[in-house]
Amino acid sequence: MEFVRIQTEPPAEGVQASPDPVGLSDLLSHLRRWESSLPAPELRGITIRSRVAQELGVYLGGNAAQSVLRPVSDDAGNLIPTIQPLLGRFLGRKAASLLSSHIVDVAVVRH
Amino acid sequence: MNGRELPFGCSGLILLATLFYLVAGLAVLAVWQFTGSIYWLEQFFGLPSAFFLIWLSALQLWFSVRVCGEFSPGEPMRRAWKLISASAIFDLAGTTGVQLFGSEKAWNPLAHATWWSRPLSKAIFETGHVLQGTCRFALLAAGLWCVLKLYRESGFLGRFRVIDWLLLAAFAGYCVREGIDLLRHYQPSNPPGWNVILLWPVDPLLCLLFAEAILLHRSVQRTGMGLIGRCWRTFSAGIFLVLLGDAMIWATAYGYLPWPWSSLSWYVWTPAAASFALAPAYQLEAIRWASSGQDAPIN
Repeated sequence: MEFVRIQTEPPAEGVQASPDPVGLSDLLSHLRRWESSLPAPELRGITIRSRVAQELGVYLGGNAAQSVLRPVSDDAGNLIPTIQPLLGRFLGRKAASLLSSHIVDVAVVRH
Repeated sequence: MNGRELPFGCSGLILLATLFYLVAGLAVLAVWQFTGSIYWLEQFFGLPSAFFLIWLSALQLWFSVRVCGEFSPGEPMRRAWKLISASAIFDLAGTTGVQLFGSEKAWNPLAHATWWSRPLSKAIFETGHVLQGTCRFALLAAGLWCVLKLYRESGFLGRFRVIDWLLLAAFAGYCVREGIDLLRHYQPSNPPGWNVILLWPVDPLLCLLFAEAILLHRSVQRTGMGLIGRCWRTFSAGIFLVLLGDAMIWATAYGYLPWPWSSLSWYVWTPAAASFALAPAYQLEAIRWASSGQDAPIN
């Protein structure tokens, strides 16, 4: 009923502000500049993987870190599900969880 | 720091103490060579050596139990560390029996009791050997087997190389040769005692441990050296040193290692014991660094 009432109710005066064409185009051009300054997703993936490999290699060894990170996607979306179970085997679940968070923080968030 | 002190310096302390002990031991060996008097060498391998070995065994047990506590029930590595801790219990009991309570020296506190006798001392000494031999190695082999299974499941298990197969074949040949010698020596008229029979599995167990140590070493080579691999490579080093000591005892008994070179075998047991204490210390350090939220020391 409320939905029907909102749909049928005439719009209040002054609620629909007319868009500011100059401000909007300014915002859009800023967004485009920011987007173009970002590296391509595949390049971002390589950088993230390299940083994670460095952090992970301290514990697992360099070769193991490289091989573990092969299936990690460019956006690192599956990073934690990939590394945490493996670290958990050798360091215990608790330490693995803390280390995974640290690695994400150092290699993904801070950069 | 998660409210806990991080024992980051533990492995360094063990390494430093072992290095100091070995340098002192070599200095005493030099004194013997120059003066011809064996007095200081005997003193060095008496009380200081006995207490150092007991201290290292106690550290191995303490670190192993603490590592075990870092894994939750049901985690596969917890089973491995339980077995390694049980092996450390037998090692500590055996080392204390052999070095302290089975000794006929004045530092043995039991030797001052009225009920003390030489046969009792011998029985403690022999029981100590069984505990730190068969019992300890069987549990250690089972623990390392669990670790190798984890390496295999993770896709990191190394492979034997040709040289490894040759070394294993040589050690297996040594075990067979010793078995034949035992069969020749013990006849129905000369049956072996329980203390001898219980020590028979030691060499086959060492052969199994040798194979496990090589595989662990190759696995760490495959992964590259990291804080986790450092622990298992140190276990491998400890096993290699025990085998070296064992081979030196055999070579001395068969006249291949004449005196005074045979005395070098006395120096092998301390670094071996230090390796078994260092390995769980390294694992504990790796876990603590991982939990600390800090950057690890090697990068």
